[in-house]
Amino acid sequence: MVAIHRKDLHFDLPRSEDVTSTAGGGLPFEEIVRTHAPYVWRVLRSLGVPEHDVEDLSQETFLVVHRTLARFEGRSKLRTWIYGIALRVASDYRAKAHRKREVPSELPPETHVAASQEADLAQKQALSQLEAMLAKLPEERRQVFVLYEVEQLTMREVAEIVGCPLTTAYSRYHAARSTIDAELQRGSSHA
Amino acid sequence: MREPVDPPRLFDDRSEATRALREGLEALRKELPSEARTEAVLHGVQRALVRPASATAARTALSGKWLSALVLGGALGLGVYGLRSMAPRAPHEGPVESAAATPSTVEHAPRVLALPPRAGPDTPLGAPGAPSVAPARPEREPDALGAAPLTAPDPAPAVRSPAAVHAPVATAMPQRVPARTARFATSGATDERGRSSVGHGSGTRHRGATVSAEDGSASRATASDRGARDVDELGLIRAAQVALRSSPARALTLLAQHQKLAPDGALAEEREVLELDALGALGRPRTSEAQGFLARYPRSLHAARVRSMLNDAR
Repeated sequence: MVAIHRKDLHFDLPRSEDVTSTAGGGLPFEEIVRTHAPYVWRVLRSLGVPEHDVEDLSQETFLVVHRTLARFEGRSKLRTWIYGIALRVASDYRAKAHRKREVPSELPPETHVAASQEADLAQKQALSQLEAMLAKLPEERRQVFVLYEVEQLTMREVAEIVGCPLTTAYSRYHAARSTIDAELQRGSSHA
Repeated sequence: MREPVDPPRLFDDRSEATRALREGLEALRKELPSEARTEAVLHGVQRALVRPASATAARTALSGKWLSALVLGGALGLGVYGLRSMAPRAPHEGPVESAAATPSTVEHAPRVLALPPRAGPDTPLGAPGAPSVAPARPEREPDALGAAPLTAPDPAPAVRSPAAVHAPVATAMPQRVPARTARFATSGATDERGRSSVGHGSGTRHRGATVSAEDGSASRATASDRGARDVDELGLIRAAQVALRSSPARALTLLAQHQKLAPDGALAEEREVLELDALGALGRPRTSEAQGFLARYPRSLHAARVRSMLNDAR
């Protein structure tokens, strides 16, 4: 497990012209965790955090949320703000994993699936293929692609979370799509 | 300037070329944690948030106890020295361990002379042979030292009548409680509430100690410290969480086990919340338990939920 040193993390609070929610809004922190933990979990997985570390990093994310919640001004959705923290926790994790020469496995462990579970098998293969393609994306493009396609956020929200201009978010997305399309074509030509 | 329109999402692209990609995305969107894992995240966060405060308080209490131990040890050492120096000059006074010793002579008897052969690391506190004063030995286990009743010297004389064995210990106990953290003081409150229905071991005896119900809390404190080291607290709590869904009674049994092994463990707060959940699932009254919880943990992350339990009960 790669330790995350919280003092190393830097968080820029997202700003948005979209005032959709007030800060934690009096919501108990416990409820914040329960409500948003699934999204945090999924985005961490989508960003390549292996399953055995997702729980730890989810906790890490919410510890940062807890510590910085007072600074959340409610100028954006709480979920959007938490996504931003999760992205940085994942980014920090990947950087440390590389420094420790422990490159996180992008592929799920091989499993033996019975013939009756063909649908599951097909789904696992599709997931495995997608994860392999995502692993080839530079981190910034991967973040934009995951937030837009997996989390189904608007591009404005994506730009806000990753902290870049809207046009940059578009170009990162298109670059990611190009890479993925090329990979798909390469896969189909090999098939 | 007109804002650019978001590009079409892959989910909206129904072409065959992107079918595998869409399936992969659908699978990725299902990568959500189970309820148990979500709860595990929550409990992990709670532990991380609660532990530093408890650890600091425990450290403070421990250092205070070490200081007290040193002071008392020094005082007793001086007492021993004084008695030894007095002994040749007053041989007619006879042995201290006289069966005919009056209460006053018992009170002033050099207790320390009788302590070394009787006190051991496994001796339950509050038991007749327990050390009344923690010796100032740095190599001694901090837990055992911390559990020793330092604030009230045990007036246990070299010879005590059976009736006299327990009473002084019982009076010493309340003085120990403030030295512990608020978190660690919960076992006493738990007993006051008498929640024996879920197996809270009031007066439970440990390691065959012949202790009374009064000094049971002392032996529980020791068991708690041992439990914190030996018991897989998280394992028990998680097992209880899982059991709660299918068998609340089983969850209560597991929680009672945790209560017995680590009454003041790091997850005591989580245990109490799970107990409330289990009692609710069994349709049993839990108002007093919920009120007790809020009194003990007013700033708990669970407080809002426990309050809503209370509101529902009204």
